[in-house]
Formats: sequence, C-alpha cells, structure tokens
Amino acid sequence: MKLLDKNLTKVILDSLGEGLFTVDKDFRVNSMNRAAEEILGLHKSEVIGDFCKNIFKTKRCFAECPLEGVLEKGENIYDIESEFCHQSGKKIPVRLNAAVLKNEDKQPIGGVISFRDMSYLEKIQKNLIGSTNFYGVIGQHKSMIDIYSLIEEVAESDSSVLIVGESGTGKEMIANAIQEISKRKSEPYIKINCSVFPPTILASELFGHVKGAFTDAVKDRIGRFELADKGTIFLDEIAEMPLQMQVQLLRVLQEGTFERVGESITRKVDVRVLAATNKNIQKEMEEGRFREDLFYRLNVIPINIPPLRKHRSDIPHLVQHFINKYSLISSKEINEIDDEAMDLLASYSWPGNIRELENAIEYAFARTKDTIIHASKLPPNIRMHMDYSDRYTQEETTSTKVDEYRRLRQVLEKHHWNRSKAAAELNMGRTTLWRKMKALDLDK
Amino acid sequence: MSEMLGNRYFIARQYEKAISLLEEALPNSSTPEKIKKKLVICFVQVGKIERALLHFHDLIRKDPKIIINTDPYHDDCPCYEIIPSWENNLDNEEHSQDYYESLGMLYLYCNKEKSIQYLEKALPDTKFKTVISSILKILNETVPVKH
Repeated sequence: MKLLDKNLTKVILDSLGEGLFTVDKDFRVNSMNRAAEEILGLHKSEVIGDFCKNIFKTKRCFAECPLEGVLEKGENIYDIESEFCHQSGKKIPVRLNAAVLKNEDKQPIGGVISFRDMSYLEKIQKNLIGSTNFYGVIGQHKSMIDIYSLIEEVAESDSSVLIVGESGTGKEMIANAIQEISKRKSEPYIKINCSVFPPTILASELFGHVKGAFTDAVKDRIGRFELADKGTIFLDEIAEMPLQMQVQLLRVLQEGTFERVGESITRKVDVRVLAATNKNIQKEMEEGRFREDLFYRLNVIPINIPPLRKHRSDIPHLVQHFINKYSLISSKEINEIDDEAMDLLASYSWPGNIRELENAIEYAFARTKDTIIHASKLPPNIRMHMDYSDRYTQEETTSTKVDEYRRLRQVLEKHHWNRSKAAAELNMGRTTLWRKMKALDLDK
Repeated sequence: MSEMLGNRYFIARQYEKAISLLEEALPNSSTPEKIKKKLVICFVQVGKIERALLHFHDLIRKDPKIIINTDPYHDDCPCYEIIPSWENNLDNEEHSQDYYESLGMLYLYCNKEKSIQYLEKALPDTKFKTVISSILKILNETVPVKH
C-alpha cells in the first residue's frame, strides 16, 4: 500500500527508539512520536497544543531552555543531560538534542527536541553500588579498608579533604563515598575539574560572573561555589589551579567569602571542599606552583589512594565488578573470565590503574562472543606483556625473538590477521611470514 | 533575531529581553494581536507605561475580548503571578499613579471589573486621560465575559 507523505513521516518518526517532539514558535507542542509518549507516559492527544514547559517540567524549561540556546547561538545542541517528568511524577534522566526549524526566509518557526531515556544507566549504577565494598568503591586490601575506616571516622566533620593518588586510582569514587556518608549528603554536590578550564574561565566557573564582566558574559551567571552552598564541592586536579585563583580559593576556605567576576559585592557561602590531585604536591610547593598555606587548609584530612599494583589482591574483585557492569550495559551474557586471562590481568603493572583495568574489560567485552572472556580477547598491550614469557624458556627469550614476536603480532592485528597484507607491510613473502609465525608459536 | 526567541524570553519572564525581539517582529507578523498582548505585559513590567498603554489601547479598540478572554494556563499569562506583587507595593508607594494604570492593564487579562476599578482610580491624575477615558468607555460597553 502506498503511503501518503504525511503518513510516511509519521511511520518513520514512530519507528525511532528516541523520543522526539516538535514545538511551534510559541513553544507549544505540535507533534510527538510514539517513543516520546512511552518514555513520558503520555498520549499525544494530552499534549498537543500545550506549552512544552507545562509538559516536560524540567528545570531547563525555565533557566536553560535548549531551544533558547540554539536560537541565541545559531548552533544546534547535541547530547546534553537533562531530566523530564513522567506523568506519574517520576523524574526521568535523558540526554537530548535540540534544533530550530526555519521557513524559506530562514526565520525560526519552531523547534525539534529528540531525547534518549537514560534511566537504565541509573538502575545499573544502583545495582552495582549495592555490590561494592564501600559506597561504590571496590577493594578489600588493607590499604583500602584503612581508607574506608578513615572516611567513616570523619563522616560528621566539615573539614577539607585532600585525596592524592595516581591517575585512574578512583579519587572521584572516594570523594563520592565521602559525600555519600557525610551529614551534607542531601545538600548540593558540585564537581569541577580545574584542569579543563583556562584560568579566566575557571574563575567564572567557580565564582560566577556578572553581565559584561568579559566579552562572552552576556548575562549574570552563578558560580559553582554558590551552587554548592550548604553542600560540598569536589575540586579535581586542584594542582592545576593557577596561583591567583589559589588565593581566592584560600579565602573561600578561610572566610567562606568571594566576589563574582566583574562585581564588588562580597558573597558568603557554606561549602565543604574535597580536592584531589595526581601530582606530587610537595614537589609542586617546592617549585612554587602550589601555595603552602592552601595545601595546609586543604590537607586537613589527607587520603592517599594506593596505585593498583600496590593492592593486586583486589584485581579479581574489580574484574568481576566490571564484568557485571558491562554485562548489564551491553546485555551480553558474559559472566566469567578464564584463568589464563585472570593471570594476565593479575600480573600486569597497570600504569593507568583501575581506569585502565576497566577499559581492558570493556575492550574484552566488545570482542567476546561467548560467555567467557579468554586471554586472547584482552587488549594487545596486556597480552604482549605476558605472551612471550609464557611461551618461551629463559634461554630462548633473546631480545631479538621478543622483538620479532611483538612486531609480527602488531602488524597481523593491524591487518586483522590477513597474512597477505601483513606480509606485504613486513616486506616478506607470505610463506616466510607463515614459517615465522609457526616458529614463534604465534597464533590468533 | 526572531519572534520565536522573543516568545521564549516571555515564557522565561525575561521581559526586557523579550521587548526588542517582539517589537521587531510586530510589523511583519500575521498575528500582531498575540505579540501586542505580550508587549503590554512586558512594558508594564519594565515600567514603560506609555508604551504599554499604546498597545493596550490598540487592542481594546480592535476588540477588548482579545485581552478579556485570556486563559492563564493556555495562554501562559503571567498576570496572576505578577499582580500580587504590584498590589502589595501599592500600599507602600507614595506616588502610585503608575500603579493604578499598570494594575488596570494587568487586571484585564483576568478580571474585567477590577481592571475598570483601577483605571477609574487612575483617571483623575493620569497623564494619559484621553487614552484611559477611551479605554474605559469601550470596556464599560463590552458585554461581561464569564471567566
């Protein structure tokens, strides 16, 4: 049956997994697809003609409407976090895109919002946190147990905490755990990575600005400290903070006062500060990049997270946790890892710590087709770390052989084990490559 | 710049920002009454009474029901939200002349009788006697509308 154009569009829109609705230039909803109806628990007949703010009831509807952003900047918006309100009153976390629809004269005549329901991620997170050792943190090694004890001991305190640890050790997870058991747990919890923003923008992010304070300051904006009032702020990569801003931060810590950029009014906040760094802070102070007085203000409760290589006994627990996580996310029924793969993971040095371990499991998930992760599915750098020493005795492990084994493996993987292409790159015949692979016991 | 962005600022109750965009859209709009209804509220809120009265008078002359039939929910009319603060200030203000005119205009979006009361209070001392007299004359001739 031939479909009319209008019906065809409806069929296409209703077949999408993403929710989608459009508004006219008055911001009244004029269409909505089936996925949007299902996500929001509404029927389109209840919403068509009503203002979108009355239906979606998100904070963004009043302060940061995505379509307003598109109209002001002339650029579509992609993948921003928001929250819609289900008909039952339940909040639904979503990620949305926004675009403006224009007529032939390029005048805006409406807008389109598409969105994905992210509730499943929250469910996964809740399930996973329930199976962790300490509010989302995994680890049963004594060094980790000592950290949990310290966090519990200082739960009632408002003192600053400085979390130090190599990159990927889980500093943010520790900060989350501190917040979760603190007396401020129901208050705002604001996070900011100090290394992400250039110095001028960082000041505005932390303390806010007034309209006209700098070129792009088109309206007043509240800073993260004000947003965190009565709650907690987590300043990640604190050692990257410029010296001038360290002075301002010290003042907030000592007096709880600051000024917005471009304004002389002194504002007061009550914020608990958690800070983290992967730098050697002593060295940073010696070299004049970090203020000693700020360090002592922050370091009231110091927490040192050990690198993963110092608590290897936690690797099996972490591996199982990540297997559970990715089996939920990917819907693959993978629930085990074989002994050889676990041995590889347990003996690897993990310079990228827990983050690198998680990435390794995610990689293995992507490559695994059955229910068990085998060693061959782990990332090449981890396999190469062990492969050769596993297969050859000490006498045989000459550096030449090791190098040759690694080089052949790299090229073969690059060409997805296509021997003709690999041989061409290695500048050798296909038969020679095959012979070498056999001699080195090199196999996919 | 666009009428749509002006509408958005109106929804967000950013009246000052809405004014320039809505005024710019007015000459080419196919629905000028809708824009003027918003402009009246915007101008009242930023204290530009003469500009508000100009659009208000235009609408009344065309058809008072354009304003009287306003539905607070379906037209996203903010008058129910903003009138209480205007009335609270009425007691504290020494020179409340503008307040009578403002409340007279705002009230027509939700209560015709109260609108007439405030406009009549404004009449003795207003700078816009002719306009307000004309508005009152039309409003008094308009058939009452049940809200």
